[in-house]
Amino acid sequence: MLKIYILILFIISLINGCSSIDYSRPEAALPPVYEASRVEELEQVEQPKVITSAAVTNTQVAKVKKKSVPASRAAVLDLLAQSKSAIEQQQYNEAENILKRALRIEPGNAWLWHNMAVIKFYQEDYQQAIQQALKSNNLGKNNQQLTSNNEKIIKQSKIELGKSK
Amino acid sequence: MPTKKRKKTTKKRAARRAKKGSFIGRFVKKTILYSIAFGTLFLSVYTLHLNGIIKEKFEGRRWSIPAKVYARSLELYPGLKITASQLEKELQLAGYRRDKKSSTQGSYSRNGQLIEIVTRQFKFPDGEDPSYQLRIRFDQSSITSVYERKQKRNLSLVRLDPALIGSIHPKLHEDRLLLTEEEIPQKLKDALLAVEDRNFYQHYGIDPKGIARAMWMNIKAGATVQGGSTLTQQLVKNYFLTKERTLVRKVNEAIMSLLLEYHYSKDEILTAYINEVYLGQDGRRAIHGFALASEYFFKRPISQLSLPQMSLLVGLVKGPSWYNPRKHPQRAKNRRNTVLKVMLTQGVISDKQYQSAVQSGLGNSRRLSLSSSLFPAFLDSVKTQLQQSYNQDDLTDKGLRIFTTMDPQVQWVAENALASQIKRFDKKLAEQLQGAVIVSHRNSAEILAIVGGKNHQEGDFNRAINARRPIGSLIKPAVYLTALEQGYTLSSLLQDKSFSAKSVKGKLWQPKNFDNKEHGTVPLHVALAQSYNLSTARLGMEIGVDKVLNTVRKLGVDTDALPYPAVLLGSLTLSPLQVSQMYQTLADQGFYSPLHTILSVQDEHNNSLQQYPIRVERRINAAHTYIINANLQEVVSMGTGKGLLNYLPANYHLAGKTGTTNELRDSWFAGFGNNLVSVVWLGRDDNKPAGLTGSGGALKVWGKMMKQLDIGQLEQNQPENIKWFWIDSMNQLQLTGRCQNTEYLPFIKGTEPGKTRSCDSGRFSTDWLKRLFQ
Repeated sequence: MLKIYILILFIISLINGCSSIDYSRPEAALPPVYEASRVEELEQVEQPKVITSAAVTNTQVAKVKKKSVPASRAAVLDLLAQSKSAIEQQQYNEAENILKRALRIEPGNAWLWHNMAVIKFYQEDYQQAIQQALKSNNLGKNNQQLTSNNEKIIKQSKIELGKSK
Repeated sequence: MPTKKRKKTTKKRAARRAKKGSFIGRFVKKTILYSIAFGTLFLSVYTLHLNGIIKEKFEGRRWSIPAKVYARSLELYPGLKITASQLEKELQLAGYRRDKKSSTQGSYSRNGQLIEIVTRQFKFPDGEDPSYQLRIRFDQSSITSVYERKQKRNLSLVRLDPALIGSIHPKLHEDRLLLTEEEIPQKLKDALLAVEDRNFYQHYGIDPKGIARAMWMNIKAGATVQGGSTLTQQLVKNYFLTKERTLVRKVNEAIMSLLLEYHYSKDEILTAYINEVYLGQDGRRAIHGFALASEYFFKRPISQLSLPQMSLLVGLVKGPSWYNPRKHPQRAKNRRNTVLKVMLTQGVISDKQYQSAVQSGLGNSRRLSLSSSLFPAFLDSVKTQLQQSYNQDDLTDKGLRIFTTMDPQVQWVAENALASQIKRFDKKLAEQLQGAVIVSHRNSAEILAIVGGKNHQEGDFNRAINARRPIGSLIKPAVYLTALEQGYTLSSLLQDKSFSAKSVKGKLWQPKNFDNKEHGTVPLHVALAQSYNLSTARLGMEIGVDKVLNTVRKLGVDTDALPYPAVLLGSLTLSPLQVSQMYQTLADQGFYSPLHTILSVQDEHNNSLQQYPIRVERRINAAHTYIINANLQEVVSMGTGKGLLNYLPANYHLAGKTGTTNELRDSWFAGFGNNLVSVVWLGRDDNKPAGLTGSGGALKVWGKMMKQLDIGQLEQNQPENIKWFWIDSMNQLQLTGRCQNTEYLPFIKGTEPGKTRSCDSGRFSTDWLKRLFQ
């Protein structure tokens, strides 16, 4: 009986084939390099204002309070530097992932949103580049450098969008 | 002659007989030949069929690997607000084992305000992190330093491998971790072969000698100590065949074993066996493979198991539930020692090793069960989101790894706040009362926690996502936002007086205030802060119900509600998640970002299948959201949300809104601080009155919860075209100088009241506030 099996097995061996799953993906063409934005700390001057009806004088409310630098700042700067270097190497997805990590730590950091806008621009997602630059502006109103960088992104993105139309 | 004749006749008869005999013989021969040929053909075809099955299954995806769902990974850095106890709880959730030495991956030790951890090497969506040996110091509320023991340096940031919070099982609920050939410890191979199949490397799939020997051994021992099936047969049985005991199955098993051996190497078969074998049951979840069993029973990777631990797992092959070390420790120990004994007699281990191994304890640990999800509502939401992009098989078979936004610390607090606050209400009320909570991050729109009910058990109705309830006054910010867009200001005067309007099918709609009173002429910001219905309804009718619904849509809620006037007071039915989206957009100052629970989906080879990029869209004008949010802060500081100040300090300037529906059926609170946005709903499943207002019910859960979380002092970013003024709304005056009883309000520049009056001249504004608040 065993011999018959072996015979059958021999026949079967002739129809053997190997199959494997290919998970590799073709590399996408990379967009050209643009100058990466400057890594800088956010200027911390913002005054909370609230509706009040108590008997107070104007001067009592108008106190300017300085925000302290968040404890996570060193960690975020670390990630920001990493994402910047990834941008410089045109590794935009990697840069985005690093930046997302930083944003999860400090979601309200305007510079992080600015860099996200930069990445979106490099990724040629101009709509999001504009929106994220707007968000960055909203979060970091008092920083001229930041605002001007964001304006540049918005302007350039609009030009790119105009081109594609 | 007669003799001759007789002889002749005899010959003829013999010839005839011979002829007859040869005919029968030939018939028999032919039959045999045909049947052999037919049998061979049949067997060939059948074998080919089985061969097809084997090749397809063995070379395709060999196992269904359920998708694994992870919590967010905890980022550790000096200054992070987390206590040592909170971190310890998180480590336990992530399956870390408490170990005095904390020397191996996945272990930790704690000494008061100091925790030492050896993190696990882990493949994150953005790359692999090595294992770190950390020493983390804490003060009362946060981490003070993170020190890496191996490289002897302080770290500014390091992350923990995330906790596995659930898996998405197919119908059979099989779960497993896979080992490659190289990852299998030699110790395991030795032990397994010694006990289950000592001739594994010699036989062709079936081992007659082995069967005989096993029988002999079993007779000698008076019990089944060895099985007769080879590992190959066992693999075939588990892998391809059903559990029924029939002859056909036995034949199939034999043929398939031979085929398997023919096609694949011994090591491939052994690897498959080690990954396939069933070793335990965790509720509905079946533990398959040695790697998962090692994690399940010992909370450590297989490479770290000691000899006795390994022997216990090998012993479990024979009867995973009979020898379950958690349920039957003595039985398990005996079985383990039998395995050790077999290894000793076969010379796999030395006498010394044997002696020390049999002396040792079982060493298995307790573990949080993953059979039913620990966080069913969150997992349910993740599944719902996944089902939009993947079919069921992808989720249950392909070993996907799903990284989510869930923050266990927030989730625990939210669950606890809801359950404990419900218990504090009147007993009769509490029994029927249900609730839901959603917490998200203000700027990233990541959902950190979802509570779908007070019991949060698997299969429970997920109220956070699926309950549709009237939102009551939670709609008011949309009404007032629309008004601001149409040129109203916070100081605009509204009439809080009764009226009636035509509604559905010509019925008359006659709204009332909660206190059944009319408040006359009121400034717009007071109407929202005090949640007046009459003035809101009048305002809404003025600006257009359809416009209000449009604003609701802009805030991110996809609704096809018809513009009936009752919408203005919240007849609109939405889920807590949808309400969360509305307030998320407000909190993020008019930027709409879809609330989400998934960060990334990776396949089993760690390729990113889907990234969920951050999407942002400016939907509402910055100045209008700024003003409405300032008004929502007033709700908490002076209006219907004032009760929150019992939980959180006034200088947090939180923004929020209470919501109550007809006959107190629904109690809502939605609000935000600098970091978090959250919506709480309380009510009954049968929609009967729950007896709670928004401030008497949901607000308390919200406050209790946020008191324990880092909600942050709310600071809005003031747009350039916004300016604050001292105002006397009732007289539409702008005040200068030292004034009393005035309102300090934000305006879009140029929309503030034009007339000014100086208080320094001795003329004070009208004292409408006195009337209102006294």
